[in-house]
Amino acid sequence: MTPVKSYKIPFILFSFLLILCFLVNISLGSVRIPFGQIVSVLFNGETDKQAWDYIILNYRVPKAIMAVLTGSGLAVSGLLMQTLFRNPLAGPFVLGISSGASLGVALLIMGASTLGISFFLSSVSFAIAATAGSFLVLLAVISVSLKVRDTMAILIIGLMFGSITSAVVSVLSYFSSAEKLQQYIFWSFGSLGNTGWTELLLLSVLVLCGIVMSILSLKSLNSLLLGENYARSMGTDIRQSRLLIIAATSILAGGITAFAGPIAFIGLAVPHLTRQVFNTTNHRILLPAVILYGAVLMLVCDAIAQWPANEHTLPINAITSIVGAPVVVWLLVRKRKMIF
Amino acid sequence: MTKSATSETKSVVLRAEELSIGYKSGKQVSEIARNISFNLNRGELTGIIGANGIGKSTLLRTLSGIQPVLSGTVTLEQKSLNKYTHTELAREISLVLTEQPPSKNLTVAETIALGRQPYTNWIGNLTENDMLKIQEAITLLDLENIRHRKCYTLSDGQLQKVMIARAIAQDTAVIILDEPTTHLDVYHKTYILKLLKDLAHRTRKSILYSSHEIDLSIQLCDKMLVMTEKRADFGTPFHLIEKGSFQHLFPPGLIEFDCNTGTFRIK
Repeated sequence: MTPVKSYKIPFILFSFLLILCFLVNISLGSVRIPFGQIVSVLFNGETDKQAWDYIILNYRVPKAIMAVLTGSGLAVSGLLMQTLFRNPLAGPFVLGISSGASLGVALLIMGASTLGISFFLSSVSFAIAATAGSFLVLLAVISVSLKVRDTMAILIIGLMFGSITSAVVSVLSYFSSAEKLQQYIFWSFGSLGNTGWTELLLLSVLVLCGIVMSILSLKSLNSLLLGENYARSMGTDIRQSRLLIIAATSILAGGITAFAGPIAFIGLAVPHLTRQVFNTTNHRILLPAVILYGAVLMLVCDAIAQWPANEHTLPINAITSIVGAPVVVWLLVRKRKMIF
Repeated sequence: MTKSATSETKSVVLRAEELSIGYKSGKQVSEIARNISFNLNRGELTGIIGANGIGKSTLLRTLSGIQPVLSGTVTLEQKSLNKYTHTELAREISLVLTEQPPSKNLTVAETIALGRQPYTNWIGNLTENDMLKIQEAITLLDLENIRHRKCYTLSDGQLQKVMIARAIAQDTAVIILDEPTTHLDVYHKTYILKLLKDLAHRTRKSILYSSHEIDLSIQLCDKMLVMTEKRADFGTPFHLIEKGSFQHLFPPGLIEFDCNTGTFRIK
């Protein structure tokens, strides 16, 4: 595509915004720490109080990094889905990937206890269960996509998988004890906190993999803007690129859901919000743009989640829905048509 | 006209022999049309005419490599069609389809630039040569004044021109258009078909299109392929009228072909 505009200024602005949001995010929390101390701990590694060091380095910084990873990863997977399915309402949820992850965790928490098996329920075992669940749904979707040529059919199949998994989750919750149910519901609220550095490293590797695969798909994504038949006539290997795009999405969405729980609306809303600023469909511009925008929005949502500034933080999944859903409605009402 | 010029340098780009087309799913084969033989020559405009459901679109899909050939051969530049890889084929045949692109948020220039994809590297970087070809296509179709407009702001006729420019930028020996005149009024229908003829003659490309515009095609095409239930006739419009090919195009009774005017009349 002809680089008509390079969008240098918005990119620089968004990079500054990202740094600013990151710093503000770290400075917010139940313990009030002066902003100057935040900056000093990041550059010198220590502050006046040892407790502050501990809070910042072991709690707030990992949480902020988690926000950046989840925000940008989900935004990228949303962008990929919207182009692949030529549907402005596509997102990681639509393929059933997130519901697959939920099913995995539901089976772990509630299913195991119903069967009388007790597991050690740590965040790592949640992550494994969620990844396994999303991966299974993904395998099903991919095997169907190899047989079915029509992408709209795959979209519907993804939705059906989602329905089946949520039905199984309902059945499980009906039979499980109140305590287990509560545990599952807390997971489904989503959480960016309580992530150790090892888990962060693992998630960063996954997100990086997903982004590299997206970069490899940039050319075919651009050709898909004209539809699959045109893309094929321009030399795109549809099957191969579709497989790569779906794999990238599931690694991103599956990995993130595994560690942070199901987080709604970021994947759907961020690509649309990004197109308000970067008025283009060229994926070479859009991909880095949604990465920045997703990270910024997630940091903001996380900041809102800890607004009460008590020991409690609000569930992040609720915040992203409260922010995301009106945005989508507003875009629809204002433009009357979602252009992608 | 350039009749003498084309007959001198007449060279075949694509040759279809005893072609049988249709759909294959598993073991079931449903043949739609058979015994189709024709040549596409450099610098010529060829039109495919036939009633609805006779297999025009299936033929175009088969020629563009989307659908496999049931029997018979298609040779493109002395090489069998099924020996081409995706990218190789994209450098020989470009398409203009009836379907609207799902994303119209691209600018005219961006849409045309996508035509360079078979030549660009893995990430789609445009070289100076690519930019040159894009500019050529824009100039050729006179799109300079709307090159920065978004596609959703264009009229159907303008969008059709953009998609043709994209096919030109793809720099292929053959351009295939599936019903390029649908949704257009009679002026724009004529304009597009006339444009295709000029392009074929000026760029020495072989342009093949399917259409329901029989009278216009008779007046404009160098060659025509008339598909009926029983057979597919190929030749110059004059030759086909003489042969009486158009008489069998539609079921008898309602309309009748008038050989003198080259149009259909109600009985």
